[in-house]
Amino acid sequence: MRKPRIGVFVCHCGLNIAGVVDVERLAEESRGIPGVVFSKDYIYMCSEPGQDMVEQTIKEEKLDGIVVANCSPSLHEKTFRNVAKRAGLNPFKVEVANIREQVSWPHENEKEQATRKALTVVRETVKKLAGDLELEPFQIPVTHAALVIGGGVAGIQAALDIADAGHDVYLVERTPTVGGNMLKLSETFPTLDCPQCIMTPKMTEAAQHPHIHILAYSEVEEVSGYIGNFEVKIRHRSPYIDWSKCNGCADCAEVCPVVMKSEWDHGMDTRRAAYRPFDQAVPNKFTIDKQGEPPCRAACPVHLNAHGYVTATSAKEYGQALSLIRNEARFPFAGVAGRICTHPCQDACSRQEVDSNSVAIKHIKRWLADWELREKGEASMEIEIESPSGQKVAIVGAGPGGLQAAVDLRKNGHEVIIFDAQDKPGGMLRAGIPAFRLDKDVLQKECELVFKLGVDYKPNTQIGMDIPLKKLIEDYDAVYLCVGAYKEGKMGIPGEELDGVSGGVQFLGELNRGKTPKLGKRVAVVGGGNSAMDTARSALRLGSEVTIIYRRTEKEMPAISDEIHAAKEEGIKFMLLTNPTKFIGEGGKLKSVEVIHMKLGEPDSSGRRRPIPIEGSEEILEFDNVFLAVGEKPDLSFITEADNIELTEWGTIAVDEETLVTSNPKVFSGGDCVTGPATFIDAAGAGRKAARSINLMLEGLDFTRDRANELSRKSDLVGDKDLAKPTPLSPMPELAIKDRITNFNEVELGYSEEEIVSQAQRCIHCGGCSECRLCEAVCEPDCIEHSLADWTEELEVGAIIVATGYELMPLSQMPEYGGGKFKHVIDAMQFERILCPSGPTAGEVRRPADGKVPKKVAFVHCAGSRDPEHGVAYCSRVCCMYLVKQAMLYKHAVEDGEPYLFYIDIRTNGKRYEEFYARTMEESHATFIRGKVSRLYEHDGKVTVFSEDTLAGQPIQMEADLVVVAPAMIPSKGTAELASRLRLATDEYGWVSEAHPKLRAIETLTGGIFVAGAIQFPKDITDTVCQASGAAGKVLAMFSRETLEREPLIAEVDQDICTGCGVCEEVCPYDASVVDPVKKKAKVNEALCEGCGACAAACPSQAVKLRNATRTQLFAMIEEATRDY
Amino acid sequence: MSSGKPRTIAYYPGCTLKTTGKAFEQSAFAIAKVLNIQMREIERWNCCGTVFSLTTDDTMHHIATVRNMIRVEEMGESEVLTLCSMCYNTLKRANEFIASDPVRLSELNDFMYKEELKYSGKVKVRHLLELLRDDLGWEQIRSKVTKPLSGLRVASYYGCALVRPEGAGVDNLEDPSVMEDLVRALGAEPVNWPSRLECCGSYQTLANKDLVLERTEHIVSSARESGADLIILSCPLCEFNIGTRQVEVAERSYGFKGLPVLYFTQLMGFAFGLEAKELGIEDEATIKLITEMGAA
Repeated sequence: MRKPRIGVFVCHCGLNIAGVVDVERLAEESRGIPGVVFSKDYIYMCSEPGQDMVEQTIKEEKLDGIVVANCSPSLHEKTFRNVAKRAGLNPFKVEVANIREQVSWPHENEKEQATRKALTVVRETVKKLAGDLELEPFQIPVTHAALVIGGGVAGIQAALDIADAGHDVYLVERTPTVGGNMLKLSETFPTLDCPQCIMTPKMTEAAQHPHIHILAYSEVEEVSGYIGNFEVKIRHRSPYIDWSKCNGCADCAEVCPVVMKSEWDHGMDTRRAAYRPFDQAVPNKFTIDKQGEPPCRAACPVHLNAHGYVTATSAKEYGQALSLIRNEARFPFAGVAGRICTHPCQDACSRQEVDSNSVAIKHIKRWLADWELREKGEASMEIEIESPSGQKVAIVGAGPGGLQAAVDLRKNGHEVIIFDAQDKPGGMLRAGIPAFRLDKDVLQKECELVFKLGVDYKPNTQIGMDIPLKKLIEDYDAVYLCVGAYKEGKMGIPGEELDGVSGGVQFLGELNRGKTPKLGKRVAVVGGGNSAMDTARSALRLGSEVTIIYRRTEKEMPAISDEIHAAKEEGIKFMLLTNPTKFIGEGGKLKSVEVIHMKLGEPDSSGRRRPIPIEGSEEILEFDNVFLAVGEKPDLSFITEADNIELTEWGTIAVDEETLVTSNPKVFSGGDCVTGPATFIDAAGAGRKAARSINLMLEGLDFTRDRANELSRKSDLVGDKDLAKPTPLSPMPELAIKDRITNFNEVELGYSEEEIVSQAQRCIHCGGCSECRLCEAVCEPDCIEHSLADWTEELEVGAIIVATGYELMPLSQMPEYGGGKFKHVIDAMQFERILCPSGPTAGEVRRPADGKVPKKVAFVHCAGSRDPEHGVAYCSRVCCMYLVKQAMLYKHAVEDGEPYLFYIDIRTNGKRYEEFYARTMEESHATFIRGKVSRLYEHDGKVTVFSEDTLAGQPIQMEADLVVVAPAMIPSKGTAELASRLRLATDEYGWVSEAHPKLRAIETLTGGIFVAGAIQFPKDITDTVCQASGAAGKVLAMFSRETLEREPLIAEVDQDICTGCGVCEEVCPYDASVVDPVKKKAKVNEALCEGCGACAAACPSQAVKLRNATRTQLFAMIEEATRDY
Repeated sequence: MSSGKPRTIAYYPGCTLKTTGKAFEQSAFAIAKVLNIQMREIERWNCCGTVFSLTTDDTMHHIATVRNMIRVEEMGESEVLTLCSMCYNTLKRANEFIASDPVRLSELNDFMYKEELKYSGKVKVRHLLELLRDDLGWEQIRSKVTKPLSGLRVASYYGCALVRPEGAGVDNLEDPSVMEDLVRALGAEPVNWPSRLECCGSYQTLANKDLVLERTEHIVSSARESGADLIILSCPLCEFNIGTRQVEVAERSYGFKGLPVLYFTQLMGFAFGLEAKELGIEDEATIKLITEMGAA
């Protein structure tokens, strides 16, 4: 083997190194290191003469490796590798001994030791060099297209620069428009250019550029690949409008009744759910803001779009509102539900968080149905029936569940027949609910809507007697059983057989069939449910004195509170905590009732407190009639063993909860015969659920999949409470008590039109768009698509520029400044909007809360910035200048206004910035007070500012009309997620880290990804634009070549030793190391590997090594460094 | 009066509550009884150390706290309740300082070799206001009110030790609401006023009385200008400075009008229907004010 010929070059770095290290001695002593044949020191080795000297020496001395003792390799390793290349030496035979950052700087007071340490560093570096292999860089191809993330001024500038050079650029923007923060500003310092004038042309240019593809309302979902060859997945959020057709005419926004806060005007103005952020938006397209399912809609067992029809009603579009119920949701019972629904929608309504009362959804629905009957004389439902399927479904029971199922089944083109034992349809709605609560005419009309769809209806037909169930199962493709629960419950106490003791439901049924049962003077009703209330209120109307006997307290009564309230109002007596123990008769007729009084014990399985009899508290009360309303059971005697339908131990039909299929796979069941007595809307919901199962089954699909939470769901969405109209819930007009207790006329009279509109306007629009679909009707290009889903697009790009910008620290994080609760304390971006001619006040300076012109405005510098207590130790850099500008603009707008600026230091470090500041002081007469504001206090329409004047050494207190706070700039939302998708490092504040703070401030540590604008750190527009153009330049330099050279200093795996354990895969931050699942061996992707060495350190079997930094080399260095000599 | 097992908690009084702040302790015991809280006073408690030591090697201050914590653990309790804001502040911060570092804890335990028990570091220091808000909840407080203080406008004064520094305080240090919420639960109206977080002058009351008198005048006048009928607080030193010292302010400041200053426990007592003498309130004008307002 040839003896090594190594040269050592010692750099003085001016006095940086030579001031501490004895460089001459170092050069001289280096010559004694084995293998070193030449050494020399020089004042600036990186300068041209220095480089020439190294180049010449390599040639003359025929060196086969050099050590340069100078600064950090991150500065000049590359420089000397290039020198070596010029001299014909393999560049990877160059090593840097860092004697500046690691020797002279930290040891400036220990010169002798520093010189000795420097020699050690050189010696160990010589050792490393001995192990270095002569490597060759490899080539990778470059895709000549770029991705720019963020459509602010940085992104637009970078995109234009790259596109102008003829390369394709994809500009991804999260919001519906490009423009970013800059476009919201009033004017820009120090030239007072208006951003609308200098920015919108750039936006338009970008939009019209043949090489720029603006992907607005989109986000980067996934990034894979490596420098020159990235694969990017973009998620386009659905704007619910086909942008290829939208012409920006604004017709949709004009009819949209949903009012929301405008992000563009920072909450100081409103927009509609169908919106364009501002008139000059690019792209000039509209977006519909849908944030999810509102609570009312989620809670409804049949999924009526309550939000939608309430919203349409608020816009007086009653036909559309009703159409959402009847035609969209295929729900015939608008008038019925509007009267007697137990309204889970209202219980979920978020308006309750504003003023404790929900939107009157039920009453609105009733009004719509009544309006149609009044205006058109009849009810209507228009559903497109699919072509005949050739399949037949039988439904047993014409209650709400059966009828709803019939609608949903008929829609799919099935032949549907309903059998019912009664002479008229409606089930319990007809039999069990008295006419004073539900107008039977309304019920009849809405039932008939179902039959008009071509549903066959067979009244007076009792399955089991007239037709055996078995025959139905044989003759039809599916059967839905919804026979309700009519069998009266018994108490199981003596005397129940007496004349005068009967069931409440039976009594109500007789009444509803037009009979008038004869009652005695004193009537008792036992029970606390809705049937009990209905029975009692009906008996009262027949002229009896009525007492309700219930064993628990009013709180535990299952009846809805409105009914309990009405019963009390009408004069029904309540005997609570009381239970009958015996019915006493005389001659077979009821004479009196023995009752016992109760107290409440511990809660039982239903969560209600269990009633316990009080011993010895029995009492005998005289009654002529007693009605039991203690729970009904289904009569299932028509089901025989041959039908193969299992029952539960409670005497109900057993079903699978999610599909409602019974043990007979052709038979489904739901409603009261499955659940026991429940509500109208639950029965309708069950009908809908069963119909879905049957429809799927008849199509030959698996109806058991994904059926959980199909009906009632929960949603936590809350609309904007600040925008809530102050209208209170108005009470439902009712018949006077004296006018109702003598007849069966409907008690609730319904709202007026004026009332219904103002009630509908109480909605706070949880989740944005209500899908009222009013926009669809007016959109001429027909581009509204409410069911348009998000979609993804895959792109291949060679380089990525991250330019996602900043946002302001929210005032809610500054409780000392009111935490966002003070009306007259706003943030600086809000004030920009106020100063801006396109802002909420059209450029007039007015307080957003009351429109008054503020005569005294305090500007608070450094709110959160330079304040580690708020987590931000840095200076946000632009606040001083923009507050100075705002003070000047404020003076321009309000001549007699007084601006006061409370600052810590004024920082005006830019071209013409200081002059601008001076002008604001001298010409605009703004008062600058050096002192941080400690606290704000709002009272009587003014804000007291507590501060100090540190120049005078005095505490200061002043009253201001408006306070403008300049909050710290922080990385825009989602930066952390984006950074992790791009494998970028961020600093402790979340800003994206550059590769080197001075020399590589545009590159990130990931090759091919660059950073521009405020996402790297707060900066003003000038610096942002410079950095953006710089980033574009870097990209263009890459794109100027067909291939890229990659350094070969990466990891490699010895395939013979590797056990495929996968540790390297886990530790690799660049996803470069992957274990082949078949060969069970790790492999390094050369293009992805950045040579960090994490895998080499982690590999338990030492199979991975980092080229030119092998274990052998490192141990040799350590040995050399620790050797005594 | 609540039935069932009382909520027990170890109670650390501190020196002032046995001397000038007796009324605070007395009223706290009175309302605790109504709320079914049993405050078990620590036997052989010692000074809290007054003022948390900012010097990390100042072992003596922390010894005082550790010793008190050992007493709590000797009682078999895991939480200790304080009333005085200053004791709360010192004990809480010192306790966390000690408990957060096992080396420090064992070092301090070594100093205490004569104690039978070693301190585990697990005792939680609680202020009564925290207990009311977090463990009982305002609903329960509201349910005990028999004489709602409707019409009474109450300024809550936090001072410094109750809410500072962040992490040691009972509430948000810049915008606390615990006392205002309490006032609302009692049926009275909380006053929005600017000086509720300002310093009362604290120990300057000994060496620089004039400064404290200035503070007192400023704070009390500020509350009065904001429409308050009285001030409530939770610190005996604050009470001395902005309560007792009002007499001296009146002597030197023409036109100064004072306001009654009560411990929050005393106000609670009134709302719970307790007698003034059970709450340690002697000032007739104060009693009259509250009784009349409450009745209105």
